[in-house]
Amino acid sequence: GKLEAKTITIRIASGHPPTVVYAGLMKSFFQPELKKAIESKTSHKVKFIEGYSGSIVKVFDTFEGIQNGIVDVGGFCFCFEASKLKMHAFQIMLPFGTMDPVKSVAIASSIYKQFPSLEKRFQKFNQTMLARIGDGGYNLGTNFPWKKVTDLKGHKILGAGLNLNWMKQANVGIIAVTDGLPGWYKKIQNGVAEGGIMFPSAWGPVFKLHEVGKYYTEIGFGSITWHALNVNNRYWNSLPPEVKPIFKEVAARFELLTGSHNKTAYDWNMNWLRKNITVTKLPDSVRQDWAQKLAAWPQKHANLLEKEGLPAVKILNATLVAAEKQGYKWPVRYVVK
Amino acid sequence: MFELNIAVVLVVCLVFLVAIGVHIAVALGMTSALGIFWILGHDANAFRTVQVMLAAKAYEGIRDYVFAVIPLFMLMGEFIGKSGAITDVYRGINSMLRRLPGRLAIATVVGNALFSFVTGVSIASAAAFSRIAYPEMKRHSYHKGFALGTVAGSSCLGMLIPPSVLMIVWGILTETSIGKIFLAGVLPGLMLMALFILYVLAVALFKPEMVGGGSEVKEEEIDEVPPSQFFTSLIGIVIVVVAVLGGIWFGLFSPTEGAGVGALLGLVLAIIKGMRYREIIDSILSVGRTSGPILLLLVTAALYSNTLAMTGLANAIESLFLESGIPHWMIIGVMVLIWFALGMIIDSISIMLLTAAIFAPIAVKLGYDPLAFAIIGIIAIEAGLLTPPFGLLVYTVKSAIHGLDPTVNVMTIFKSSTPYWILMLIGMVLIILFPEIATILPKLLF
Amino acid sequence: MNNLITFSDRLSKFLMVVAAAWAFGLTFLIMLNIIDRELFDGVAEIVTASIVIIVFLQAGYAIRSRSMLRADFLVKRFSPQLQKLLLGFGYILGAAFFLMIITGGWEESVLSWVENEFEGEGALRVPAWPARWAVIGGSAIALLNYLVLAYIDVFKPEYLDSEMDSEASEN
Ligand code: NA
Ligand code: NA
Repeated sequence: GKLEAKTITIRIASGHPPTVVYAGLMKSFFQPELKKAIESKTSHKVKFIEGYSGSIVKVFDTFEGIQNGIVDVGGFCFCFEASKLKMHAFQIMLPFGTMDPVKSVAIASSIYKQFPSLEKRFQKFNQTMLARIGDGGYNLGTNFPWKKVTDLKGHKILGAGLNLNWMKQANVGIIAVTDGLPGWYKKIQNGVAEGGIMFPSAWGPVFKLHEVGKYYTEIGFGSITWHALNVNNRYWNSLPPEVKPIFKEVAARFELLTGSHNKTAYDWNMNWLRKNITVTKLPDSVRQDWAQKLAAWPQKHANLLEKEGLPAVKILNATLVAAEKQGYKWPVRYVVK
Repeated sequence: MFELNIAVVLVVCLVFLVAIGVHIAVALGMTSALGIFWILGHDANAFRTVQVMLAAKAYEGIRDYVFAVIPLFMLMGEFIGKSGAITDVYRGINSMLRRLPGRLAIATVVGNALFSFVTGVSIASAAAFSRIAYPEMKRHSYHKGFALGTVAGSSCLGMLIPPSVLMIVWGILTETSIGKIFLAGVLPGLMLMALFILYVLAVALFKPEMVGGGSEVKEEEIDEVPPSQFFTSLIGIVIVVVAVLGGIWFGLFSPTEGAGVGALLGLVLAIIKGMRYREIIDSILSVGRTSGPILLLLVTAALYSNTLAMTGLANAIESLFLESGIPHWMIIGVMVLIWFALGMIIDSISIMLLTAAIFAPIAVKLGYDPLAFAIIGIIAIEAGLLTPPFGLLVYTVKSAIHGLDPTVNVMTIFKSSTPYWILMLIGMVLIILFPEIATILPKLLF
Repeated sequence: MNNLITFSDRLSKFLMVVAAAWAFGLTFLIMLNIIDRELFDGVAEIVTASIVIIVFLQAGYAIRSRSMLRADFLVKRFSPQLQKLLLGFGYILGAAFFLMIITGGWEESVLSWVENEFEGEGALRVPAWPARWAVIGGSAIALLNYLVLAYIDVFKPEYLDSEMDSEASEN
């Protein structure tokens, strides 16, 4: 019968190790909270099979792993699905946004509410979104000191993909290099790259990039919500109906925590970096100037997406407004028509 | 725990299929298929998922920049090997160091250690040295098994001498400084190299027939190499190694790029040494033949380790260690046994992905130095690559010499590799007893 | 049958030669990129996609030339009949493995073409379809070669002297 007690096994995975903030929160918050909630509210037991650090799926095939059902619940970055989730990286397309992860998550959440097509897109890949995941704010770490934007010319800079456009489209003159975060250390050590666009936690304690790149410049590219925690549809439909709302409730708390945790961690990690390497802050005027150089890019990128039938213009405008509603003032008010 | 039963079945099934002679890549692949099917609840949907997952892993499993080092370094080894340059150097050393017994085997150990500074992938060293050193040792009437065992055994040094992929993965998984792990590996790597050389010397003294004793006098009469030829070859090789190694260390390029540069420099050296069109084409095709099986094996090994992870093996191991009341040294012993056992069936990086994040925090809680423990782990995992039934390095050597000597039996190589993995385990115990071997350099320099 | 085997042997060898030439070609691409880093973007992306293509172009030949790694230490002690049976069993497993890769992957491969799937976005967008189709095509040749091996080793040992077998034992 419906109320029969059973053991719910959840195969939860991420390509990143739990040392990376979002994967760590999956393990230390989402898992125990979900277990506690289900076991206290129903007669079911919960058991997890963990597949962190890419032991079941790598960072770039977690999304496909959830789709295929080898993973029940997975956390992944849209950056590895540039082809399948083109529209979901909308915050990247508006550089120099808020550096506050709490606001970033709230902005993303409001856009998903206004544009149900974003969540619906996941259905095409046999999965349902449980939570959005916010990241710490992006800055630039390098193995060389620099002061002016022109100093970056000719240097090899790592990025996650689309965010490299923050430099390329501003004609900074960098040479773009891409790789999964675990590969960055060696690339910088070997000189294949000389820096990267990264948030402070990864530059410091987690991926130790500060060992090979002694300079971290607070630019304030923005905090981006472009990870998600998704569940395989077949698995989702096989769950006892009374469990699903509990999943959703814990996932909602998890989503908010990715914002608030990253916000607290940002200051802590910046202090950590200040103690260990040279940290500088880009003057507001330079940031302003840089944003000005990028002013045409959102329109340019939106045009490409619109050609493919995606509502890029509407989503980008809604994002600009949503950020302002959160009290954020854009250094350059991008115009997308 | 149901899934744990599956894990046991998966291991038994793999060993069985390998034992009855099924191609190892197929055994890994089909065992994984069975495992996924079972884990997902063995219905029609699960069968569909199995197929989709196999297809996904076939595409994603090897889609990594790092894997390109394998064919490229094999090309470098092939060009240098076929050019005759190594032959000249080995012959030159042979006539110069007349009194040193087992000199070619010693040169293999040292050469491999040197090569390890370049690659960071022990398979690449094993493949290259099978082509470079084995024909020479065979020509000098070395015991075939002893020669190949030396190649396989000494190529393990690759992961212990920086730069090493394993060290970087370990550092990331356990939040340990990668720079410090690099330094921690230097002395243990040199120590193992010294142990290997002592072993070769001992064999040469007590079993001279293993290192071609007896036929030596006759050969030296034929083998005189004109000094100019010797120096051309020696300088050529040194230039290739220094360019590749220096290029990687001074940040000019990545290991994959280093492999590409090495292949081209190897080609230049080969042309200088008189290699022409036909032989060059032959070398390229030869790598086409030998790299395929190894790369396919890596694809299926990744699939197998993913499947084991799906069974929840990792969680089971964690609770086993934390909830048991067994003494510390025994916990470390069990970890080493597990690494060693996994090393027999899956590749090093996969083992690390499965275990490092679980084992390292436990070891630190028990009071072990994280750097020493990293090196202990890497040695144990690497030693497993030399043991049957899966010992990847042994199969790499066997595959690389297939064209040269198809008659050599895999078991012969396994047997001759045994002293080397025993020495590695001895080295590992030394580091457990005296962690300073690993920790002293990082302490001095950081 | 003989013609079919000859055809598949020549195709397998041709693909292996293409893969070998491709790997050799990569060395020049890498060298050019080192000499002038700004000459092209995305060499890493090209090399990454290439490695998938190279592996699957080589798969058929690796199987047919009997270079696939296996442990024969135990099997050698069995009777010839049992050896034949086990050999046939192993080949069928091999054929099944590659068949499942094809049945599980062809839809994704079609989609990668239809929907212009690409990998990497920062430095260079590399289309996904060549590598995806290499996996499917290479697996098809691998499947065919496992069937050929099963046919020769279990039923028709007289074909052992065909082009491929004599060549494989030469190398
Ligand atoms: Na993907
Ligand atoms: Na190394």
